[in-house]
Amino acid sequence: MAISRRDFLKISAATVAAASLAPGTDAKVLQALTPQTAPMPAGETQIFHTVCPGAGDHQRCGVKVHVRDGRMVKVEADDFADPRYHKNACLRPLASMRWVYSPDRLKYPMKRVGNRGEGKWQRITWDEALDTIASKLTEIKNKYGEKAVHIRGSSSSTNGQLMRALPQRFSALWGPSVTKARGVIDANLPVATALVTGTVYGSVAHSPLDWRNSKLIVIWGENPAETDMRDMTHLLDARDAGAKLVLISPFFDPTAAKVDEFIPVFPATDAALALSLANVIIERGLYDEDFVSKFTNLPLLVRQDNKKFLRESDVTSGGDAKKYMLWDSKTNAAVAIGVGVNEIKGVTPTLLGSFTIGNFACKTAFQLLKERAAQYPPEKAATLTKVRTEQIKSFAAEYATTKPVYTKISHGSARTYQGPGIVRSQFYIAALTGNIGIPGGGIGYEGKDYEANLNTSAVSAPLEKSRAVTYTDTYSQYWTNVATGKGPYPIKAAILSNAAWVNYCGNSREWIEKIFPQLEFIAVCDPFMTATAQYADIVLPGQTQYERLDIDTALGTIRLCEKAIEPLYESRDNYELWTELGKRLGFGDYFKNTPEEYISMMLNSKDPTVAGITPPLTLERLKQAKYVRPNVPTTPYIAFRERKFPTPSGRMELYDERLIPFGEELPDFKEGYESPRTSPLASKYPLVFYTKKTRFNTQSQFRNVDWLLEISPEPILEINPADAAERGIKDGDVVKVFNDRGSCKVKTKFHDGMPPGVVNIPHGWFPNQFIQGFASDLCAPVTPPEKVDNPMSLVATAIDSAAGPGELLYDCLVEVAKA
Amino acid sequence: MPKQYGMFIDLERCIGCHTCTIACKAENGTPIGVNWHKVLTIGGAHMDTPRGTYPNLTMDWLPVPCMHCQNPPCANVCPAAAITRRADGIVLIDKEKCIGCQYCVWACPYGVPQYNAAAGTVEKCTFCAHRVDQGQQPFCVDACSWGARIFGDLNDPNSEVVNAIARKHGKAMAPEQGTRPSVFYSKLVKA
Repeated sequence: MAISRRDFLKISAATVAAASLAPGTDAKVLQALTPQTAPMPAGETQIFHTVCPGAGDHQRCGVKVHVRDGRMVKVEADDFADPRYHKNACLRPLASMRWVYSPDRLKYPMKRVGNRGEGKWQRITWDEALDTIASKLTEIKNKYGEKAVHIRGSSSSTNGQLMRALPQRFSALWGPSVTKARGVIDANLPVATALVTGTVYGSVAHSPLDWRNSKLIVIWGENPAETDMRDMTHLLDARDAGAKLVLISPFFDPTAAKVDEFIPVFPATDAALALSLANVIIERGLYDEDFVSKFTNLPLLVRQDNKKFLRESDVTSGGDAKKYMLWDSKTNAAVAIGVGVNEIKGVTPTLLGSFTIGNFACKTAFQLLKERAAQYPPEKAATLTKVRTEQIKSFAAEYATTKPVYTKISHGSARTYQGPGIVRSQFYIAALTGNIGIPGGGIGYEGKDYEANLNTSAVSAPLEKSRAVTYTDTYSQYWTNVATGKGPYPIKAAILSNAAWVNYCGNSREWIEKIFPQLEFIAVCDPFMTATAQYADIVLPGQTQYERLDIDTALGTIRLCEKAIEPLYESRDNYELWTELGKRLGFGDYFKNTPEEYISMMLNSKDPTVAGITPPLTLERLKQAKYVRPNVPTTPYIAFRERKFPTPSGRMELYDERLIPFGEELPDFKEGYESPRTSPLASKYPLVFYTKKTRFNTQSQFRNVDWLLEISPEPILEINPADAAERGIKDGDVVKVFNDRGSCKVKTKFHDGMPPGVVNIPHGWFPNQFIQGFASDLCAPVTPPEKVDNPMSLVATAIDSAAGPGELLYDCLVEVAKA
Repeated sequence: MPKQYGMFIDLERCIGCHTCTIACKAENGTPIGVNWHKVLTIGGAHMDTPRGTYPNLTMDWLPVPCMHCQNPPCANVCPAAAITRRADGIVLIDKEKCIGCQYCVWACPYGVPQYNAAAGTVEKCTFCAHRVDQGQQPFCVDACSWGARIFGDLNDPNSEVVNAIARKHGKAMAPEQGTRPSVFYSKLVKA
């Protein structure tokens, strides 16, 4: 079903019908579906409104779909409900028509007849497929209990609230099964955000409209020109409005080309850079004293004996064990301060210093931070980060003396073992300079706006008490348990829809060799035969966004996702999959609604963002309007405007006593899982290996679209010419990239924007697109042999269920040699 | 005064994303291997690679539609008189008349005309004349969500395109060729 690399290259090279080479493709179907070979359908053009199917970048831009004679003929950008947001659609949705009509689409259900991964399939009916799944689940439930089933309903590649809610509805009824289950990758950002601010990470960003109020925008560890392309429009607007743009990244990539200053930080050393910035800011007295005093926990006194905060009960009999202590510079005495209290009248907290209170030698947390930061003078940080000393000094001063500054962070610097510490240290700089809760300031992820709170639980939680659980162990611990058959959830079966683990979730060999063999049954529903589907026992042809009804709430817009075309072939979606399974497993009474009824249930929300819409929002009104602005303020969203933080201290938790047992109370620079500086492996594998995201894909989605393959035809290794010269490699040579975990063969592309010592194979390619091997075979393990789970996650998961360390994608060393 | 349609491409806002190229493909239905629009990298030897030595680097992109020259060399060399310039300045190839000799491919200093081997004729960007005739913009302009493209009448001193060219010091490519292109760029550096 999957077409070979040679076939892909032929497509890109010029042959119109190369796709027809795909084995198993009905040539007539292909002809009918290929715009260039089929006559343009006659008849009226109908326009349907929905969201982009490429959700891996989380932007969920609105699109209009032109349909003629039941066939998609064009996709273009659709407006947002707030006209201040540009309509936006990048090359991916514009090319997505070719993805929908790709000859590679799975066309009917199949069951495996050979060994797993062997590629031998037999066509079956949906009824047989569903009956088989239902009986296998029952069998496994009887043998191992309900907990043995992993239900992975959707990934970020499935847009729409209904498609996400339905598998949750199923698992709520099924029993204590794992739904979200640390299948959530990229959890390091949520971990850090939850610890520092007490909130979920999605809520900390500002509206992109607010970026125009910034004087300085620091993009740190992201490449929005390719991966948050709508955000990039607003960053360019901010630059036109006078903001200076700075990029902190190892890579001179498309974003670097658009910024005013490039700060070339070596991979995974961002915490050293941040601490050095903090060092300069503190030493030069450039921090925002007022903000630090009132809204961070840095003025609080810390006991030197146990590193915990001094409590009132420590020094006064009958004192409040919850109250912290600070040192009043006016009276030269310790004063108690309650949780969430920002200031006490007449008291001026002392930020720096050591004090003895009763029997306790104490320092302010700020003093401890100062001492930690002092370990990273710019000269020392420069050797680690490879950023010039002068640039560290001048950038620190610029950050601290410019206001407001927005810091745009992302997964780029977080996808390492030390990711949570890196992100926490990024938050420190924004907090020290008082850039929190103010227009034009902030630190956050993708641009966001107030969102409508639909009543999704009406669909996802049909029972008063859901029987599903969100597993609270960490990502790698969870999968280690699965691989070793230990832990509270001995997973023996997995139902996955639109989740291509092997393609994008860390080391692929681990999935194939360690985790899948533990699973007695795997069913995959996906529009394509992904590398994961190849290891399934049953594959089901899934639909694309355009083939179903749904609803979305991105960027201050409630948008109906209309069904633009009839489902192709025998494809079905999450609605039919979970409804039909529910019926077969005895909870048919809960699966009697139509998609329209479910959407009406979601619209029936008591939340003022929806309930306050006038005239009241019904499905009928939404069908007319297509998109509606929720009842939300028109002023751009600004996180922490009230400067309230639901943390233990009620302040930004910059010193974190919950992490004392792990030596992480203050972030520090620590070496990662594999480091080119300290790992014994570095002598064998001296190069840091990246798999960067590009504009041609979201995760593995769209890597098989012929229009995109014309521009970016195959996996290549990006390498600095100096590194290549050392290895006798010429531009365009086929090379072997390898480490102890695996290897792959690709062509090289000389790239002066790659830092010496770092190589990259862009992310998301399918295994059969490589000359040999697969880039994910080299990646750091999903289930590492050593315990590398960052302990911070154990605290953070209690705050944000999405938290917990993700994969260690970029903590990976390789060597490259001419093939 | 008759219209002279033209385009301003703001290289300061171009992020090299190829959305224009894909938009062109979607709108005009060009086959695999034939692209009426392309985005070149002004930097290193490959797409999206910069010029210089790490970390002192520069990179820009050059989106290339047809320049719709006021003195079009392609039309001047066409032995079949298949290439004409409309009254509104849009330069079109008449596929019925084209004999596929590819003189125009050779004559165009911008590498614009594309030979379609399957059709045996040469094709190129039409400024989406079919849309322009209906009062719409070329689809690449509409699809550029980054505000890097402005289309309009170069002969209208009040048009957005004329103002943008003046404000951003728009320059045409290879003016020494005497082609008088209708496409102007900001920040144009010699490739």
